[in-house]
Amino acid sequence: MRRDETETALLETRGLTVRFGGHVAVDGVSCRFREGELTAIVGPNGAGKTTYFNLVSGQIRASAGRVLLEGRDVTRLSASARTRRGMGRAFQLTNLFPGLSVLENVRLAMQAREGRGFRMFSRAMGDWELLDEAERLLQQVRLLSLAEMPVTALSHGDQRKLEVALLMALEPRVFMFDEPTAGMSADEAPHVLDLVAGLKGQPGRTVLLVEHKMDVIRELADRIIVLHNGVLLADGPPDEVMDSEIVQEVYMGQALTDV
Amino acid sequence: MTARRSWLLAAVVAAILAALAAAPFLFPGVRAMDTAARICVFIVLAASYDLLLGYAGIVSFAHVMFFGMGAYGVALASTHLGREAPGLVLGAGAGMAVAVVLAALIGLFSLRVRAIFFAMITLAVASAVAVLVSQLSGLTGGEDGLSFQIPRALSPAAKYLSEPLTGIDPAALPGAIFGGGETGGLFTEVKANGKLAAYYLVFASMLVLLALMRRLTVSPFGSVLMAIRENEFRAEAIGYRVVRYRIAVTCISAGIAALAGALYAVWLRYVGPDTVLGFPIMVDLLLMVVIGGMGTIWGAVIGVTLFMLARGYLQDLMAAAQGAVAADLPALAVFLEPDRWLMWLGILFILSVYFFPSGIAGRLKAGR
Repeated sequence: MRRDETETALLETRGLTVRFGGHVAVDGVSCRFREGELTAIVGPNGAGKTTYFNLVSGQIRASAGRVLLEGRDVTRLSASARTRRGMGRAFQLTNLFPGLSVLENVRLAMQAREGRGFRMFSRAMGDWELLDEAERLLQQVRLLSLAEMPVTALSHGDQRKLEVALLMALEPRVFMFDEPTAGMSADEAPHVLDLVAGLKGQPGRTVLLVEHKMDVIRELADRIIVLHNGVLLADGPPDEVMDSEIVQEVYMGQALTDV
Repeated sequence: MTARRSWLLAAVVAAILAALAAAPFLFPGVRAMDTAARICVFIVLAASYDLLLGYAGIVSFAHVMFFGMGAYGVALASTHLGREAPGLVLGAGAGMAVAVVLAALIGLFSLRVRAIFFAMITLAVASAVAVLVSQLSGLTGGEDGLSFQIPRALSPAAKYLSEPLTGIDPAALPGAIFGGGETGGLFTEVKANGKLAAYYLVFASMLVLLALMRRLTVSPFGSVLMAIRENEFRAEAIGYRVVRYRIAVTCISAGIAALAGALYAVWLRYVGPDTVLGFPIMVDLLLMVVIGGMGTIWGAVIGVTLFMLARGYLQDLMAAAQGAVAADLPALAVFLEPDRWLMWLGILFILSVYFFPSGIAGRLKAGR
């Protein structure tokens, strides 16, 4: 038996498929994500990476196939319910609470995690436990000096950092990053990637990372899966996958059509 | 919270509340006290509407219907159960219960789908209820409404002190200070009767409900409402059950609106479709909230006060202004014809929305 099947997967998709009209955007993707592992999901533009993420985190409904979280079927659960069960997602296009402050954004995520949203008679700003935690997290992502600023006043790079912070604030078991450093300046990106790397190897956690930069993937990923036209094309250790003929072909083809 | 605390906003709101607290002693006359009581009731109504509109970003056209339910609850209970206090409380409670249940039903059926669908459903239900109230004249008094008696302790016939209390007439103040007028005119007599007691019941209830709503908006629950307003999709994605929060705030605001209606009924000792249910009131309410500033409870206080004062006294003000310019500028006097007060009210509102898009409270708060 391969190692895959003996160990329990934290997250698993079985034959996950979604059709938009006649177009099959994700086509029967079966994949297991183990504890402590950082899996990079790569593929050319339009390969279905983000759509796959949307299926896993519940933003869109699968046409066929299943999503299992710790062996339990969550395919029919809403995105919100999946989050409450320990899945967390950061978005490719920044998706924050624009009119609220940076601190409030993070605090809201922590408040959701703790299930304290229905408290009506205490002061939200009196919950020091969460506020302290939020400040610590903002310090980690180097946003503490901007804590009181509204999100709309932040630079694009800082908004991307906050996007990552919101996911960290949820303390999920499944971390899903969708190009976390896209649009970030060259001196900010490594710091955010360090945070992502820090999640590797932790018990009870698994990290999924959609990323384009090959050097980043080579350095961070324990494993790579390649999607192409919605189909799982390759799955294995980074060096092996990246040097494989089929992946070279896909990326070369992409490069040629781009020209 | 990005909102920097603004002393100007706090001062304005404190001044309004202080003026309302002292209204019977500061502004003599039945009409002034009546205006003050209406302001108190509508502050509660507008603030509860702001919970929906400003905090949760939900547009409802049924808010005045819930207000009417509380009012009719009191009216029906007082008519059928007698004028004593327990019946009044029961009526208010029943009106509130019906409002909350109906709000929950509307929310369950429509908030799952889309916020705009909720707006349309509330419009339909509110129209249906308004028709129903005017048709079921046997029960509701139809278009004529219901006049009823309230507990003796709150009616003008109840006397509490043998001697009247002393109030001050600010209009006589300059005369008193500069010695021009009669000094005696400065002081007015305020009868310590049931009407005064009723006013303070309305005022105290307003303070309690306002404090409660204020607390709600700064609570974790309130913070989730704002998160949903800002980005429903992300609120859902970080694990909040958006529909539940929406239904909860719909029920809470409906319940408070019903209580405001009950207070209004106690004050007026009358309910009718035009006073507690009509669509024109819904439009007024929207204006009050928008002018005052959405998304802050204090905005409701300012918006209601301005609106009610304009509506109550603009005509008088125009008559005075017309008299002043009639001799010298007859052309201007035509425009200041008191009968045209609604036009001027409209112009004032357009200007205020144009210059203060975030409402007066929003403007006072940050100067952003």
